[in-house]
Order: sequence, then C-alpha cells, then structure tokens
Amino acid sequence: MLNYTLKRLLALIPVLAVVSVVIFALIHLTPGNPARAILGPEASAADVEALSERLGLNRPVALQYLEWLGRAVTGNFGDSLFLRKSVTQAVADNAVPTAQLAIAALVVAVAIAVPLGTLAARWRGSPLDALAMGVSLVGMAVPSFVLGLILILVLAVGLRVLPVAGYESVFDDPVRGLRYLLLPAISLGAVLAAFLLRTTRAAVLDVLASDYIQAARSRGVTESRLLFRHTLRNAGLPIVTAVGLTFGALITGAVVTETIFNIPGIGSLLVNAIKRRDYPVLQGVVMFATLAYLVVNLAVDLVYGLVDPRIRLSGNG
Amino acid sequence: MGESASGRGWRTRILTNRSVLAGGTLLLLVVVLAFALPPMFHADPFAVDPAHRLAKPGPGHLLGTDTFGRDLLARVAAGAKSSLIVGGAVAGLSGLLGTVIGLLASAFTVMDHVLMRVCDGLMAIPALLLAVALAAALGPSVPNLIAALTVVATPSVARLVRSRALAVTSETFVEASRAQGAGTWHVTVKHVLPNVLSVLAVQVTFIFADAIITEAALSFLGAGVPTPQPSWGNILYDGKGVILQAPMMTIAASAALVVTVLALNLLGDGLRDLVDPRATRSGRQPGMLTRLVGTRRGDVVLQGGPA
Repeated sequence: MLNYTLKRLLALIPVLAVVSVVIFALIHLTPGNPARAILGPEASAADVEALSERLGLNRPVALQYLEWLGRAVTGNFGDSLFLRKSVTQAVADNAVPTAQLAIAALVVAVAIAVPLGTLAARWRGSPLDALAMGVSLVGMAVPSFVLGLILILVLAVGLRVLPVAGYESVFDDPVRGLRYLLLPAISLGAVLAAFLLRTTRAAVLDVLASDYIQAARSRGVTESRLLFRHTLRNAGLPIVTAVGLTFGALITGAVVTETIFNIPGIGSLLVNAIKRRDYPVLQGVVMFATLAYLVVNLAVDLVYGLVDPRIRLSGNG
Repeated sequence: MGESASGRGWRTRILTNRSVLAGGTLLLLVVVLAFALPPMFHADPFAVDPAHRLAKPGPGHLLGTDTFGRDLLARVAAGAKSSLIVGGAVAGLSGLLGTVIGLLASAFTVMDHVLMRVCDGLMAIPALLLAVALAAALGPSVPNLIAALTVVATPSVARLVRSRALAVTSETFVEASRAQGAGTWHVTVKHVLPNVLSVLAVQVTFIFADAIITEAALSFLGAGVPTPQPSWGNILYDGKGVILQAPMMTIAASAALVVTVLALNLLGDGLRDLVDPRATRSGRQPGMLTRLVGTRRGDVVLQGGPA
C-alpha cells in the first residue's frame, strides 16, 4: 500500500509542473503589457512602470516563473491588486460558502442518483427506468446556473416559498442558512445527479450481469438481499470514482451557481477578479481549485487501492 | 469496418436511429432559428426601442423586449448563431488538433510521454475554470473565446485518439501491413486514421455541446462573448437582474440553450450506438461511461451540465 501511495504521489509531480506553467502563463497571455491592461488606458506611464516592477514583469520570464513557483510551493500567490490582502487569505475567506454549497449539492446528488439509479437498473426496461433515463438525459442538458434561474422563477418568485438569493452561514444560523442553501444545492445537485444516475445504473447493471450474482441467485438468495448485500457493495467503487471525477465539475459548478444566488464565495471573488483583471487572484483561484480536485481524486484512488487489492498490486496501478 | 460497412446499410441505420433522428431534427430547428429566420424577418438584435423596454410578449415583439427595448426573439436567434459558431469552431478545431496530437503520440514514444503529460496537466485544471482564466487573460472577444475553449477541449480528444490508435495499431491487419513493408506514415494515415474517425465524430459532438454550455457560463460570468453582441449567457445575465419584471428573458434563453445541448447529446448518444453497438448490448448507457473513462475528468462531467 505504501508503494502504491508513493507511486500515486509521484505521478502528481509532472501534472503539477504542467499546471504551474499554465497558471503562471496566464498573466503573460494578455496582449501587450499586463500592467497596462490591469491599470487601463488612462493610467500614467509611471504607474504602469511601478506595477510592472511590483509584479516583477521586467525580469526574464524564466526567472519570474521560478520565483513565482518558489513562492507558490509555500502557498504564497502574492497579494491581490485590489483587495488589500494576500491571495491565499482572499481564497480562504471566500472558501467556506463555496464548500458549504459543494457539500450540500453532493448530498443532494447522491441522495437522488444512487437510489434511483439502483432501482432503474433493478427494473431495467420498466417505465421507472425509462423515466429515470429521460430525466437524466434532460438533466445533462441543463447547466446548473440555468436550473438555478428556473428554480428561482418557479419556487421563489412564483410560489414564494424560499428566499430568492442570499447567504447565511449554516454554522451561525442553521435554519436560515439551510433555507438559503436549499435552492442553490438543488440546482447544482440535480444536475450532478443526472450524471451520477447513469453511472450508478450502469455500474449496478454490470454487477447484476456478473457470474457471482447469477450463482447467488441460483442458490436462492432473495432479490432484495441480492441487490443490497451483493450488488450495491460491488457497484460502490465505480460510483465513488464517478463522484471523485465529478468533483471538478462540482467546484466549478458551485462557483457559477453562487453568482446566481449572490453567495459571497469563490465565485464572486472570481467574477470580480475577471472584471478588474486581478491576475494574482485569478491564478490563485484556479490553482486552489485544481489542488482541491487533485487531492480529492488522489483520495479516491487511495481508497480504491485500499479496498481493492487488484488495483494497488497491478503494475500500472 | 465489419460486415455493415456498405453505404446503404449505414444510411439506413443512421436514419432509423431514434436518438440521431430526434437530435438531428432539433439541431436543424436551432440552425434555422440562427441563420434562416433573422434575415427573413429583418430581425435586428441591436435595434433599441426605448419606448418599449421590458415589453411583454405581443404582436410587435413575439417574445417581448429586454432592458434596452431590444427584440428578445431577435436576440435569442442571434445568440443561437453565436453559440453554434463558437461550439462548431471549438468542436472542429479541437477535433483536428486532438487528432494530430493523438496520432503523433501513438506513433512516436518520445512524443507520447511529453504530449500526454501536457494533456494530463491541462485536464487536471477544472475545465470551466481553465476556460474562464484563459478567456479572461486573453481579453473578451469571440476568437479568444474559441481559442480558450479549444485549449480546454483538445486534451480529451488527443487522449481518445491516442488510445484508439494504439488499439488499432495492435490489430492483425496492421501487423500484416507492416510485414509487407508499410512505414509509420502509411499505417497512420491509411489504417489508423480511418478507424479513429468514428469515435472521433462521437466525441466531437459532445464537445460541441460542452462548448455551448461553457460559452454560456463564461458569457454569464463576464468572460465570454463581449456585450452588446448577443449570446445566451449574456441574455441570461441581463435577464437575472429583471427576473421579476421580464421572466421571458430567462425562460427563452434557457429553453434555447437546453434544447440545443439536448439535441447534440441525443445526436452524440445515437452516433455512439451506431459506432459501438456493444455499448448498448452490455447494458451500458451509451456515452457516459466511455466518456468518463475516455477522458478521465471533468469535462465529460461538465457534460453533465454543472457549468
């Protein structure tokens, strides 16, 4: 297991190297002088020069990269150009609402997808299956921010049952916090559910078709026991993997969904960074989201290896 | 490939596939909305009518007007044009680039290591964030948007083409060709490429759909199609501010977006059925798992919509 863990960690190094180059390069993709782009056409030459100096833009690019990397490794992505705080601080300040939304959405997604996907597979070809597949097909065509807008229209404006938008930490005021969280979590969770539903159904069908299930069935194991004891356990791994892979979409989905519901999270930080060309914040947000995604998938891989010895023992595990 | 390769057989199979038919028909409707209707009715998405701001749907403006009094139907139709152009360009360019990279990687071991590590790195960054960051850095314009989305989509194509190409290269007929003295170039162009095209077509269809969703999200966030040029994302953003007074803006743009993406997804699923009938026979819902495994990350999942 130690071997497998080390291998997994080593495999991350080239990935992180490429990621760091891409994220560092962002500021240099701007046509012309980035400092000029940040300050706008009105700024004086002296101001532009001062900012170039502050951002280190006057030095050779390779040197800039190494310096940036050296600081980034210690978690230092420089200071925001507008917020009067470090990028790391800004991301940390805004991370809680986003994390709350992401976790709530994941709970919604799993709560919908796993039972429904399992039932759809169990009664394959039934009207229930057709309905589940139809809903998931449409669901995959609806981006979460669009679903969010539609839910606002129907539930908050039309029926007036929930607040249209806003935020309250669930830790400060659980009831109000959850009321605010409900619509965004459903918007994001339902869309993820559409994807997870199909994965769950496919995974359960795969297991149901396997020899050991046939054998168990022929021994007279009841269908419900077969489904819950034998099938779901084995279908669990692909489902967990799919959850891990959806994590990237979960983060970015949370970022966009937030902006619909005026939640002060990473999304609003990002939107403001785009508007003001606050490159350090832009870089920091992308970097932290990527790290979160990689860590979650590493964790999924490790759990996978822990549960299934075939994976950690195989050569390319 | 296989016994059903005769042209007639293929045509019948395509025309009798329900997913392909439904998706194709819907897509055709969107194309008509985008390219045929506006010139026919002289619809101008920029014409401002200050006296009729946020007008309700009616005879003069079928879907009503937006915050500036611009005709909403004309804006949604022009948005369809933006989406189809951006989506189509991204699908085409990433298909082309991804194929070249994938074939190079499959043919030359040294390049394989370098190219695939770069792809891994690009795929580790959540797709939408990479697109936002690239588009924001390059500056708001449609060509920059296309460039940003192409960078995001290409690695998944390259990976797919590479794995497919490696599978084809180990087939007996390629070995036979090699034994007769065929070189890498001949094998790649004459044998590998034709056998990669079918899966490529499926993947490119899904990328088309992804790109439309991502474009809408980017425009919504302010890093996409620059205003006043209409795009569904822009209309949704403007509509959000007046969701109480003019819900039609949100409804019309959402419906257009969902129908288009649904059409492309149906088309992709149907094509996948045709290309790989085993996928359905083994009980797998076509598309999803293969897309999951084929690209190993979020953009498949983004396909799931949470943009």
